[in-house]
Amino acid sequence: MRTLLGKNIVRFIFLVLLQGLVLAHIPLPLHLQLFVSVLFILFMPFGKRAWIGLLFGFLSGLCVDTLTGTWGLHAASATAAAFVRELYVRFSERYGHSESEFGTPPLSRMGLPDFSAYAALVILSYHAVFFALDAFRIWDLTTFGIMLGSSMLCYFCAFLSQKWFTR
Amino acid sequence: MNAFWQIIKRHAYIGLFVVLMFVSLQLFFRYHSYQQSMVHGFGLELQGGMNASTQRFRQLFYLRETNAALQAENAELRALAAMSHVPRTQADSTVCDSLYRQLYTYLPAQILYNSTEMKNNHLLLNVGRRDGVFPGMAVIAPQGVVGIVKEVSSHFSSVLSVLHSQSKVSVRLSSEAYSGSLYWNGKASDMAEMDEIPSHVVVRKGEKVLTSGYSLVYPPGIEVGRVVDVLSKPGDEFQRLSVRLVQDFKALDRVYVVKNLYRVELDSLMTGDMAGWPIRQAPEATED
Repeated sequence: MRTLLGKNIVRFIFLVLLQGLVLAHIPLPLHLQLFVSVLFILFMPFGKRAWIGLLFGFLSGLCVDTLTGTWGLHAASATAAAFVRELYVRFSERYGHSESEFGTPPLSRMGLPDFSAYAALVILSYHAVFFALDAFRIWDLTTFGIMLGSSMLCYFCAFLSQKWFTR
Repeated sequence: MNAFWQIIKRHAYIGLFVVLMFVSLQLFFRYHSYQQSMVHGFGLELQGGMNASTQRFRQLFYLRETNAALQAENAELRALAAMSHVPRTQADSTVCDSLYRQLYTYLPAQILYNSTEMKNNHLLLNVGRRDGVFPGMAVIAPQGVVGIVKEVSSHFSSVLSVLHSQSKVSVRLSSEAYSGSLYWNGKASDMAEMDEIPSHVVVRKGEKVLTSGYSLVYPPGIEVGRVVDVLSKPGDEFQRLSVRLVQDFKALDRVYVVKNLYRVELDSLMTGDMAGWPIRQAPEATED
């Protein structure tokens, strides 16, 4: 359990720094943006204490905001993603009633369909809130396209990195 | 109680989410002026829209007062209109308005009772002797004539409606100088008849029928109705016209009592009582 906590703390620091100090300064084509800090929320262990997930989600967003100067933007997006994650856990019988306090959500344990749906929900909610607040035009087609593109990029990263995160 | 706390504990994460989201958004809008201005603009639009809606709704409660105020203003304006004045002298009558003197003033009144279905119809008004109302005064509505005040008490007055078998209004055709009398035939509440028009006068259907002003009861030029048909047969000395009244007597609500400022002087010149002028076959009536 202590190892799991340590792993998650390292993951938190690494992803926040990577996002705030490196990725935030690398321009991608077509105005796409890669948010890896959402992967911390995605791979946070499942547990019965929902408030921990929400609080750490919020903190990860707030830390990225502090590094990038986007006050509140990542914090709101990360909080929304953590909330959606919590809803998924509650409404999914298999994980919601897990006896394990710190069950992790790897692809190998969840299976491809479950993991795909779970990752899609969390990543999309993060990006939707981020771009909706940033552009402040929810039904703008260009913003919607960038949001979808960035989400797919992040989704791809989630599948690539899931083995390393859940090791 | 324990189960209640369990439910609260189980769903406390929703409260935490709301708090965290609130903090994030507070932070966001504080440091993002564009989004802040957008939210302010939206808020103003919303507030303006809601205020406009509630104001429209609130105005409904003041319709009665607004109507009364408008009616009082209309009465003042009618008193200022040319039809309420007579020239001071025959020679200089058309030169300047200031040379006209006031002949009529108007008192706003509310109808308390109105019958339209009987053979002899009456109205009851909420104004009486204390308001300066006397028998013989004309009562008009925004669309046309209504009747003549018949009886007056301190606070109320009864009106002999145009829809009365004894009612008679001095009228003329809008295109011709010939005047005649308009009376109700006792059938439909929107139809009346006009007679005493010489047979050589060409009457067009749809022509306006106006008050003549000869009786000095009704101000001249008030539209009473429109000619619908000529009822007389060829060879008759006078024409009888069917007239559709412009005033819907079933929709009457507010009226004006017309005060003739020279009534006493005119009364003294007349042999009879002015109250009788427009009433046919009334015992106390005398035709003008």
